[in-house]
Amino acid sequence: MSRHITTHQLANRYRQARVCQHLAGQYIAGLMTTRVRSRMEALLPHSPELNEALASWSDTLADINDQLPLKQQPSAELWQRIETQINQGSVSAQQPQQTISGVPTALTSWWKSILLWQAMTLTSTMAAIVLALILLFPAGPQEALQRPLAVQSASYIAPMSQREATRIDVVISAYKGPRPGTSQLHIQWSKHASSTALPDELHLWAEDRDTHQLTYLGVTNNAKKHWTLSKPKWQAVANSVQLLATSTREAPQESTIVFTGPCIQLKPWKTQPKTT
Amino acid sequence: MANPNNTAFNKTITALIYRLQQQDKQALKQLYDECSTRLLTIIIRILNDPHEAEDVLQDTFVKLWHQSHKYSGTGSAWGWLCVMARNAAIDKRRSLGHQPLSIEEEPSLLETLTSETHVVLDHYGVERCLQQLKERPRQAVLLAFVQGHSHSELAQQLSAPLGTVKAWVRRGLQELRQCLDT
Repeated sequence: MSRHITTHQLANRYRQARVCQHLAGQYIAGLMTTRVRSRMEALLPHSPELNEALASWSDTLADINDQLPLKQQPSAELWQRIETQINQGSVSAQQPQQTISGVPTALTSWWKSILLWQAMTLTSTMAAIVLALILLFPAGPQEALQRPLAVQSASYIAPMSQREATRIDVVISAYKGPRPGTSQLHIQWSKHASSTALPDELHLWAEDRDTHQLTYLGVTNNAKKHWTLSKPKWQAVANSVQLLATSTREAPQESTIVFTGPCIQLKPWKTQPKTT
Repeated sequence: MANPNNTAFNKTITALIYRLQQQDKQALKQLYDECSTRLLTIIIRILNDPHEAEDVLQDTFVKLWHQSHKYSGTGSAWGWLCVMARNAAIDKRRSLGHQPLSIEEEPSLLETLTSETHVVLDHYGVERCLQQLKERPRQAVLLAFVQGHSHSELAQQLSAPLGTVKAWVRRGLQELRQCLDT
């Protein structure tokens, strides 16, 4: 019989609440060596109990840190350094590797030729797979259709949760289009939401921050997770203090409100004046 | 019991992490504006070196940009982010071979978290439960949590044998969890 133990088998050993709590506490307290910490992180996807215990301790750590006085603000140029590093990372990830460290030049050129053939083979294979997918799915998967908008930046987000609850079930994002009438609203469900009993349809409303007047934005269901906003509806989102999701089309009442959430304007990636 | 003052903040951070999972750069900037000072404070308390701390904060945000998908939705995103920054700071300190802050260098730390006034003003779970711990386990747990002391560093700081310190931490964590769960 093999003595090799899989990660999944290891995770089964950590089903006891007491063991999970002990490990999670040690992890959060920073009392594990780097190696032991890595092993525990490898177990997390396979052990919901350990994951829950770690989340619970993480929140405790955050609570403790939130009680302590702030030390100092980051320097003014730190954000630019982060921005530059991320942008450089994006560019370098798209460029081919220039050198192979530690390999003599003559060998490098021979090795590069092998890599070139491997790359060409891989490219051909990928092209064949893409072609097959296009032939099999002429309309294209829904997710792929959404991707161009997803990589844009949202102008507003509303983290929605049930009344008095801290857990977010759905995030509504509003994307400003290039012209009036082309802006869009996107619905993103959290992983928890599938465990919540929800009505088949949810009707969305924006509450004006000054007048508290409600504007109907539209309905979302399993098939419809994004739609275009008219100019008045976009303005309603931009001027809203919160968004509401109700179970019926009628004006929101206590009994029909399912989710609410503050509407938050996202600041631009680079420092720019407010455009709304 | 959740601190209602933190609820709105936690919701915002969680929503921003969800946006980040869609590679939304504005969300990263907003996240930076919302919590970079808090995260830098966590890192400085462990590293005790503001210059190195900024480097760790930079690494944390770059890592966050690439690994936001690892947030599973279990627990608050803010808690998850605190742990990410904290682990990065501990790794950095270990690689630099720096010693943590001593109790004498920051005497207000334990007083801030466990003083009677503080408990009266803010009677939410963590402070109340910390107050209930015996002094030595409480010191050990807080020094580990806030300043990233290892077991051996705790033993040195608290002038106690390693085995005793490990027992204090274990007992302190157990009692803290029991108190928080009731």
